[in-house]
Amino acid sequence: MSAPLDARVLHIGAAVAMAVAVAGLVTSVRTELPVRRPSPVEATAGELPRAPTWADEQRRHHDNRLRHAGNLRAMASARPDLRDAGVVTDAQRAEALERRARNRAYDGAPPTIPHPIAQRDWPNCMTCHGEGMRIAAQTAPAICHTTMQSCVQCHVVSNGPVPGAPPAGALTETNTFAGLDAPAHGERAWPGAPPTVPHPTLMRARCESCHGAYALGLRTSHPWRQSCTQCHGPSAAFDQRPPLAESP
Amino acid sequence: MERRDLLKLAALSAASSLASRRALAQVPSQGAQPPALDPSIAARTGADVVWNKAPCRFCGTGCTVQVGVRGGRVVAIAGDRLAPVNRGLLCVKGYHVGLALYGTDRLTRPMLKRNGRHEPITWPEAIDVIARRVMANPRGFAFYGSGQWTIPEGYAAQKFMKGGLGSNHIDPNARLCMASAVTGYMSTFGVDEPYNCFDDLDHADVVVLWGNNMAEMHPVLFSRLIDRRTRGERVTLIDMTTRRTRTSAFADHVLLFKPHGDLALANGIAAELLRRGTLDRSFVESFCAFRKDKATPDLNGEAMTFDEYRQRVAPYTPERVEQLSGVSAADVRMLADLFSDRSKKILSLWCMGMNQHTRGTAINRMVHGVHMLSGHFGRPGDGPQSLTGQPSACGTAREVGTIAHLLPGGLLVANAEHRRIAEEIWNVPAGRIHPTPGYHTVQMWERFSTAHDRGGDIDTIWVQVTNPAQSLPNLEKLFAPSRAMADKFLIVSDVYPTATVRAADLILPSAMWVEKNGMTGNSERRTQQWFKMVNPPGEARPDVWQTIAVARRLFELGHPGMRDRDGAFLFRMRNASGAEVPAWDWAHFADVNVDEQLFEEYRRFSTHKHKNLAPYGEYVRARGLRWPVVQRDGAWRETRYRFVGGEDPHVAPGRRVQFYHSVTHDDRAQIWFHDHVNPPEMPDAQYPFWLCTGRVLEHWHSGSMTMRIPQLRRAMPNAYVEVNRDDAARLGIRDGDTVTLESRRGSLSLPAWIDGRGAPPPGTVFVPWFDERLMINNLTLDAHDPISKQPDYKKCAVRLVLARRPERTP
Repeated sequence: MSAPLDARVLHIGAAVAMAVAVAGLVTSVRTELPVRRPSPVEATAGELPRAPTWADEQRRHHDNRLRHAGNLRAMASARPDLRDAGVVTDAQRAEALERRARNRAYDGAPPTIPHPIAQRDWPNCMTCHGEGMRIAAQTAPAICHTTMQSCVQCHVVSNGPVPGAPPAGALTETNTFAGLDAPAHGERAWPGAPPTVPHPTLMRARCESCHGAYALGLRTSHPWRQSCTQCHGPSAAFDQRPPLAESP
Repeated sequence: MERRDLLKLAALSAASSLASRRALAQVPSQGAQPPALDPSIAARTGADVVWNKAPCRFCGTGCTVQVGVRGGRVVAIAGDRLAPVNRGLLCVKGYHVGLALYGTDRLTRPMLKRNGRHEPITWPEAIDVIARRVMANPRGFAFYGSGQWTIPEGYAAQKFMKGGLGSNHIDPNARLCMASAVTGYMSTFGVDEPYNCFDDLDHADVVVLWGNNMAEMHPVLFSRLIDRRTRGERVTLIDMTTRRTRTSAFADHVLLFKPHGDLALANGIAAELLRRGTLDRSFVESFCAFRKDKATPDLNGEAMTFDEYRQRVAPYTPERVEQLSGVSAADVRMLADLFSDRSKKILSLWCMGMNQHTRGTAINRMVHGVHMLSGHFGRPGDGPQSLTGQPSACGTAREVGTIAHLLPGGLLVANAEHRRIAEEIWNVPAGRIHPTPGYHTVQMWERFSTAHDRGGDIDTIWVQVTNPAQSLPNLEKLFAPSRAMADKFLIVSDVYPTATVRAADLILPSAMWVEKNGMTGNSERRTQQWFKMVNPPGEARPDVWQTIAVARRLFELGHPGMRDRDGAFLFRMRNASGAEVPAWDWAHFADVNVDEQLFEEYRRFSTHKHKNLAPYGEYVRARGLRWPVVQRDGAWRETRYRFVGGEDPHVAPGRRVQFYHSVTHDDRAQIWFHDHVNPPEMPDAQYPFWLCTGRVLEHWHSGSMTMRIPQLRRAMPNAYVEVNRDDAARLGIRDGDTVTLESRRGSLSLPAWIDGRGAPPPGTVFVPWFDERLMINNLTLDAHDPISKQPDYKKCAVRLVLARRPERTP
């Protein structure tokens, strides 16, 4: 038998198996978590206060009034107790995933910034996002790739910063891109086994950013445990780690 | 069925589909349809998403992205972890590049303008219209492309024009973008393109930015540099700029200079090195010679002695440089201190600031000169490096040579031996290639916009992959007039209804990015390859097919240039068994990998100027390879540093540095002297402000793709004019007021942003050019560099008038 025929048989077999698997996954997973991904043109909220800059921070040291009025750190709520994880319900998870989807074009896209920022100065992102922070109802998640310096090269604001009247013109904004949804669950070897990590871990080195005290519903039931990957295995495929023999 | 069974099944199917792809890999490449899966490890499956590699569609950095495809559509993008350029990181444009395919107003049918309206026609009709225009007047036909042409697309256009029509009227928009860097490299080293590479970003101690807002324009490279600081490394960043930008916020020193002050600064550093005696004598004596312009500046000038150089540069004392450039004498000395210290590795980077410059060739030469004079050359992290703005400005415009005076591989149309080599490879009769360079960009559009009886001898232009109705300078002069002339015919291949498309007589819908196979070359000589992953919308087809189809129609109509020496069609394609494949017929285009066939032919040009390329298959496996790629010990090996012993395979054994393409044929590079000169137009009483134009992080080129990506458009929805705070106070302008900018060529009203994304110094305003509704190039100057012919978009004189204060809602 010739090589092309072998390939075809394999291919058809693979396609059938994939189709069954996908259909199964969709029915078993999707009904559990009806996450709605907004279309890329749906605007995200931008009603939050402007983030401070390093310049603001420096001025604060010289100006007592500012120090009391504007110091975000002073306004922050106390850090939640690690043992107070609460119940993680499916509804909470679904809400969290939907919330995440709102300012991401697809799962894995850098989220847009839901508040105004200083457009030129080096924005002082780390004041709130360094360790994570909660002020009243607003939560600033902790950065999960701490070695990166130029935050605004990937994260842009959700609402335009240009003052004044926008120009008239027929340029259309509609776009039919439909982004990849967030994975629902990791794989478990048996009921009760720790699930594998169902998403890439590249630039997501700090699990607590999404699963820790300042996470909204995606949080872990055991936030006091810090060495996550001791039990939860990342996926070589997601992390683009091919077998060495195949590396170029 | 249990869910875990399903998951196991999914894993199993993923594994078996991998296996089947391995089996497929044994089959000779069968082209682009059905979606050609990368047979290498680059493809991986996660559930039902198939991932594959491609270089990003946007800038010249050449990040590799992983494209996730499901159900025939791109659904996700990830930074490619194995990519040496970006190591898994992308910028906001790169992360959203997949959305560029899905704007709702994609062009899907060929359209011909009849009675002032664009009406749908069939592909055979459209191809026939073009072929008959060419047949009627081959000399009046010009091809205008860009650094966004893939390598095979550019190669097909190049061969069609120079090897087929025997006409050199082909030029890319890279003329507006890279030409001065090219002439700088040519006249300094005798051969184009950076000798060094992005590895320098990992090794430099000091980085000097010559008018380059790297944080916004090359964000991934900027992060590669600046993130070293979080690893505890010391990186000194010197931002030499004409306005404060996001880059300035990271800089140790911000040196604000007056427009054209870079010429004085380069001379100032050189003069101090000579005065102090801290130049690298051994490097200069062993590897350099000195050169100056003739009375009429040209590419190679004339030799001068070291003593003459010393005399001419000496007047540029720090104090005089302060007067000319506005940078303090203390800072000029600080720069001289750095360049005097050879224990530090200094990397100079530049892009449009030095290239879009009426003295662009001069300043490029001078920055190379400062590095060679000081011996900051040849070590990793130590040297001058030009950055590019388009994905294949290097790979296509410069290497394939889709420029009026070039042949592929760095060969020249004016050189009889080079023409002979090209005619040999193309198998066309001797004398087919015209020995005179064709019209450069500004000339081409000037002649297209001039009536035939007044010398406007270009009557048809075919534009592919660019948007000249927005990107040319002085649009009222260079673009608008032809649109009112009945005998001028504009053909445009594009993906969205850009300003150029709307003005076209014939519109051809194109496939873009991963809707076709492709190859590009980034600014560190890295050639990359990708396979088609999704189908183009409607009847959109790849540009390379369009060019070949027109060539075939001309062949059928009897144009003699479309035949080779043996009477066969110029673009003959063969499949693995040697049978001819009619790739010009859309039904058979995918029967063969056209890219591979064209690349393998093009590759034969690459050895003549030591720009050796590897076989197509090597690029399929790799995340790009930097040329020269030479086979050693059975493996194809790339080159990090040209001209450097132990790195470049073309350097003779035992030599530390060898400039083997030296214009003086003695292995020496040239250190040039140029005086400081003022720009051609400067602010005066009537037009008191400098106007600088440029880009912003979110938008790329004319915004035709990025303005259709909601995340990018929302982050930067329209153009604006940055006004200095004091100027605004003086003129009574408030943030958000509509102001009118006027130059001697045109005017434009747009919102004022006081100290916006950038903060210009007093007397300067800045406008980004991405917004097709606010076309700043109606105001810019078409004055250009005498050698590179590249226009200066960075400086002209304007005035500012308060037009309207918007109603403020309480």
